[in-house]
Amino acid sequence: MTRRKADLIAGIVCVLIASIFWIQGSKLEPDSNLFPKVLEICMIVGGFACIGKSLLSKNKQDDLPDEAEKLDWIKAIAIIVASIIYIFGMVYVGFYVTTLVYLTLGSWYLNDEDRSSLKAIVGSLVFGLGVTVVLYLTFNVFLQVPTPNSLLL
Amino acid sequence: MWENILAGFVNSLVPINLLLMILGLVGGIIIGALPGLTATMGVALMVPITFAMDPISGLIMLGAIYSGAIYGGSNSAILINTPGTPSAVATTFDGWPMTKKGLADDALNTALIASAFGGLFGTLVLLFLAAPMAQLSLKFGAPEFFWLCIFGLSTIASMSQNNVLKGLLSGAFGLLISTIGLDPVLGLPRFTFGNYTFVQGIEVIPAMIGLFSFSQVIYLVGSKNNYIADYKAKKGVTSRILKQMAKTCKANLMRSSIIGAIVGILPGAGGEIASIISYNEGKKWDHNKGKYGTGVIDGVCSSEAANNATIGGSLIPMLTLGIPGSAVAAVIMGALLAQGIQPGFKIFSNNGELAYSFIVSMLIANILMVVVGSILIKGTAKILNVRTSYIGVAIVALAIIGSYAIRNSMFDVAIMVFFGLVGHFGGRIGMDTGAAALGIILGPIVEDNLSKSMAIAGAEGSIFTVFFTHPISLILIILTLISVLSPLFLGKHKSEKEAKANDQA
Amino acid sequence: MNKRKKLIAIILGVALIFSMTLTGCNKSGKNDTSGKLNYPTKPVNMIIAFTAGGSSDVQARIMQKYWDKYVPQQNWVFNYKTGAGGAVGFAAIADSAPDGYTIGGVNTPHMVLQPLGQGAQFKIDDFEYICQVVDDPQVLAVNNKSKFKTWQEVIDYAKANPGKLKVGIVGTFTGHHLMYLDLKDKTGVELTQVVYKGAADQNAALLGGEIDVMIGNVNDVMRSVDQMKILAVAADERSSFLPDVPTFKETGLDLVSDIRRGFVAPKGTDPQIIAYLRDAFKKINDDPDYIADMKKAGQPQAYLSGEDFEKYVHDQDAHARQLLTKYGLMKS
Repeated sequence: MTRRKADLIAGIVCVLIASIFWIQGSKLEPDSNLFPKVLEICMIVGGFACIGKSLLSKNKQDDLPDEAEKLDWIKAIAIIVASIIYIFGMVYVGFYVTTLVYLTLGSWYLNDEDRSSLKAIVGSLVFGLGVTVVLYLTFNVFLQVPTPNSLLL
Repeated sequence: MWENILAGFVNSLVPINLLLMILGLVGGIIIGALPGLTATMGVALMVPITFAMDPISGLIMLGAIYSGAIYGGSNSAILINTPGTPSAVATTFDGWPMTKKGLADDALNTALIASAFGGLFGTLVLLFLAAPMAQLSLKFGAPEFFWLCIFGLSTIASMSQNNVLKGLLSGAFGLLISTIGLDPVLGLPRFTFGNYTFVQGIEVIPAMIGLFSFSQVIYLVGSKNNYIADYKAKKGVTSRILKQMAKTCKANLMRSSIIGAIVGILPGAGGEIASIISYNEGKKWDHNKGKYGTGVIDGVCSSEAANNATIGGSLIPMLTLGIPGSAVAAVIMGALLAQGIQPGFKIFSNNGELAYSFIVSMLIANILMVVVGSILIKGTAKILNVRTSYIGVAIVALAIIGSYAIRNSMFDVAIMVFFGLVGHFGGRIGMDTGAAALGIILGPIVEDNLSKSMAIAGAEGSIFTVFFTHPISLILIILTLISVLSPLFLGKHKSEKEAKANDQA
Repeated sequence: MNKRKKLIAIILGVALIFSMTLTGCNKSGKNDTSGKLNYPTKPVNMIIAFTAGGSSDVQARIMQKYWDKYVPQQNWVFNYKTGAGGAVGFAAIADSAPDGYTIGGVNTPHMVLQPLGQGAQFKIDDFEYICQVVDDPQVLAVNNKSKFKTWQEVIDYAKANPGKLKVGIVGTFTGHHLMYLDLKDKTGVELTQVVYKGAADQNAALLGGEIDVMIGNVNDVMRSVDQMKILAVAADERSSFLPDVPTFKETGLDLVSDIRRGFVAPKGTDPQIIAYLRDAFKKINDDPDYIADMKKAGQPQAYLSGEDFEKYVHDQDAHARQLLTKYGLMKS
């Protein structure tokens, strides 16, 4: 992404967020809205400065250092979606069961070099089981910190 | 006093107490390293167990957990760019770049030694300067606190020299996010977007885990590299780093520890503010400012020495005035009260042996921590040799438990994922995650103290006298101005090349 | 809201049946055919609305020790649901399945004020009251270097200089807030209200001279009592922790204000289970060792039966409605 484009998007996002908060807070008492209002004004001014900087910039080729451009997007999106399914799973099924499934399938899918080999499948299964057991021992047995529980463990 | 100190040494070196200390340190380090499990939680979980012990043994163990947990936060900050506790945010600034450069060992050992040094320093302050420091803590009113936070926020300006505007906008975004929930003046719901759940506000830890950890996982699994970084275990790193630090970091260690001890005595400000301020000061005083943020031991050292020095500091007002200087100190005070021991200056005469044994045991715990820590480092650093396909999903599982554990709320898990996406996509348009995290951490404290100061100004009839005439406020204002303006003056003649180098970091 | 609650109840109910069949335990948590109560058959969830290590938690932990003595078959699992000054946790108790396996700690007047002033998502009628365990009276305190010797001097000075005196309270829609409104209502005094996050920074502010007076709890001021002068206790009788401090009542002001802690279960829990819990908690509260432990921890122990506690909460509700309406703090 070029610096110009990044500045433009950043500026618009800032102005947008500040405006949403501004509208949300319009009915608040002045005392409780003082600090947010100061911030909203700063963000709107700064956001327009960003937009202005982008529009006035002459350098069209200046690229922003961006690690994300080299990313394998399918994998990145897969982990986001899988994590969201995982969270819903733990609410409706149970924490440790979904953790086991998520860890095993997740690590197997992401290990794309030799997905079909027996070694990879067994490796992921052992990994999933191992981590789940360690988590269970740490959180439920030793620390007794509650984990999101439902139907199953 | 001296015979009590001697008794303290004897009590701390009883085998059973030494064993409890080691257990406390190991447990504390693990809890601290796990994102979402904080020092407060670790100590609170152990308090009921200490009821069954002799009060001295119980306190010795709690002190060891506290020290271990604050240090432990640096491990995850360095290895997976996830501060294990909020006080390790500044450790990620240099610790993570060091890991990426293949210097994870160096960073981990620096954190360990700096933590132990800071911890020792803080405890010595507690031992010898408790009375004057307690008085100092009372001099800090709402306006002083407000300026302290502004001073902390000024870090943003010097942190993101290449793009100050976006750094400031990221900070403002964090501050604005922190206003969601109940406002501090009237206690009315605000920015709930019609959903009552938002009344509980954005909890710092889930947001931080999202910004740093979840967003990092997206990079890790998507990148072409199969490992986080090159890593080969080397021998004798601890002693090499010790020598290097003795040579180059002496002033840095002292300065950071002093900042930590002073911030620690203030109720409501803890390791998170101390480490940020100390990182910023470390950078300001260094003749080669540009190197901070690129992965140097100095940065890790400033942050870690300061956050462990807050421990001794936070116990000062707790023991002498009954006013805990941190959430952990409050829990330890609860443990004292449950044993029938009233805090106050009298504690040093009425329960002298107990009080001094506790303090002396913290000295010994910090020395022991170097041994325990350096053994644990050998194990924890191994995660760099595990493929990212495994590490990535394991971090997500931990991030979820950690976000959930803080308030047992799925809402916080949702926050974590949301901020993970904000961190990832925001990073692509130049958002500074560190600055945003600072905003979220400092936001509630800034606003709280701003509104208290305004109320006081109302009673005293002048905003000017309240904000601009207290001596400590003036010092903080001057320091803030120096920290904001100095990069402007010094930055002018910096070569284009150096600016570019910072850009890439 | 009601629909959502029903849905949650159904989901939890299904979850319960499922987990029971899975564990091979097909006896329901309630009665078997003989009508004898078979409870508890699994651990009881204890929801605490404040952070681990706080006063509410410490109290419940002491209680747990004696629960294990009188109900040895099942223990408590602590579940911290913090946020919004306790409102999140109270709502979680109200929303949980009324099967007797979730109970929790509540505080007054917070649980009364939050639905009135902040639109919290629960009502005081959403609970079955088990008992009250703590009654922590509130006090008016000044720095021990202060020129004020009695509460009347504070009021007289404040009346002569309206808005000049700064009073520190912890949080809004809390016990402190209600006591301040009460004091304002009964004396007509006008102070500047400074709101603190917790007792620690409030006490520090009083000792450091940032505020002139503060409203505190006996439990909190005891920790810094050497540096403070406690002017009066807002209770019917003097506190055993502060025997030399007069009450407002004996010095001519009818002001009683306190923070109380009790335990509740969600509305609709089997009356037999409630009776069982009330009985168990009564036994704990009668245990001399428990009373000694509470005293050691600085927790002003005061037992009230479930019926009496429920009545007290409703009285508080009427009182708070009147005060909040007068000062325009009711959420419309």
